[in-house]
Amino acid sequence: MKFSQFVQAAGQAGRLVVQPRMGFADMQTMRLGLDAVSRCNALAVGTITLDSYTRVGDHESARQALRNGQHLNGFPIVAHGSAATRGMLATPLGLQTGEQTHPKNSLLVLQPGSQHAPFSKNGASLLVIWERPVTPLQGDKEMSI
Amino acid sequence: MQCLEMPDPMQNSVTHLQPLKQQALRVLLTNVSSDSHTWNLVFMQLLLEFMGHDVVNLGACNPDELIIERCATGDFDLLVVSTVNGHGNIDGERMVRKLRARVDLPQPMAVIGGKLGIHGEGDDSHLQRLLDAGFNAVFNAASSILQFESFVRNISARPALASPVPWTMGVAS
Repeated sequence: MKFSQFVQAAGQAGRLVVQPRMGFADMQTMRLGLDAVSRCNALAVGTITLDSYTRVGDHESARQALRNGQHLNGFPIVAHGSAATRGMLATPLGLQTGEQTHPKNSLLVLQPGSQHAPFSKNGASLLVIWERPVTPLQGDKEMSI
Repeated sequence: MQCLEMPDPMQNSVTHLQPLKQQALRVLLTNVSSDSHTWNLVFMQLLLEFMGHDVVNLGACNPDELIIERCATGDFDLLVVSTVNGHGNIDGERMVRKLRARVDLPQPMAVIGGKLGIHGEGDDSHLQRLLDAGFNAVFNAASSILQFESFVRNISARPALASPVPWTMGVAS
């Protein structure tokens, strides 16, 4: 199911979709945040908000911040790399994919290969949570996870 | 409301400060390399111009080298780094260390302020580190704009063009 379809279905059901904007530097906190979204009492879409270094392509600064234990304003998905990010998302979030006619789940999971529309205009500041992330950022092969 | 300031800007470890002026300060305003926000820059430009100073607004996401290059022209009395993305404590420290290391270049006074970390106004762990790196003053949290105004008045002795600044009364208490 595409994000647009999910929102449309929610609207038809009279539901409001909320999207907590959230990103943390370290894997554990990021995962805890997503788990919290999946349990919240709302029709919510989980997100991984990228940090500013990743948004501007300064991945070395992101890596350096991780090495130094510095706090970032989002999740450095390139610096962490595809394997680690996949690992973070490997365990199910305790929710179902949006396959029903009416969204009853607390979180949308886009399927691998889905051609969803990006949430934000530049397509890079916010990423949907997928069961398996598949969306590469334009011009950055490292993002193909 | 937190702010750290060198006791006497002329007596700190930076030895290449421009003479302080009675006229309008020439201010270079910028964000840090990773921060794309511009609303804060617009706000700061208006504030400084209301206070009677000349501002060159360099914009957002400027590489360290560009900021240093502009400082190297000697055209500025004061570098104001305004940042709100939470990376200012990292990017600002890196940039100002590079700037202060260039002892061969003109060294304007430099200040940084805004949302310097991601843990909110209560986190003051960055302030001393940023001073040690080479800033002359550090302004943490939105309410510290009043201290920033005082700082600018102290180093310029320039009568403000518009006084009081409209928002001063609202946040003074």
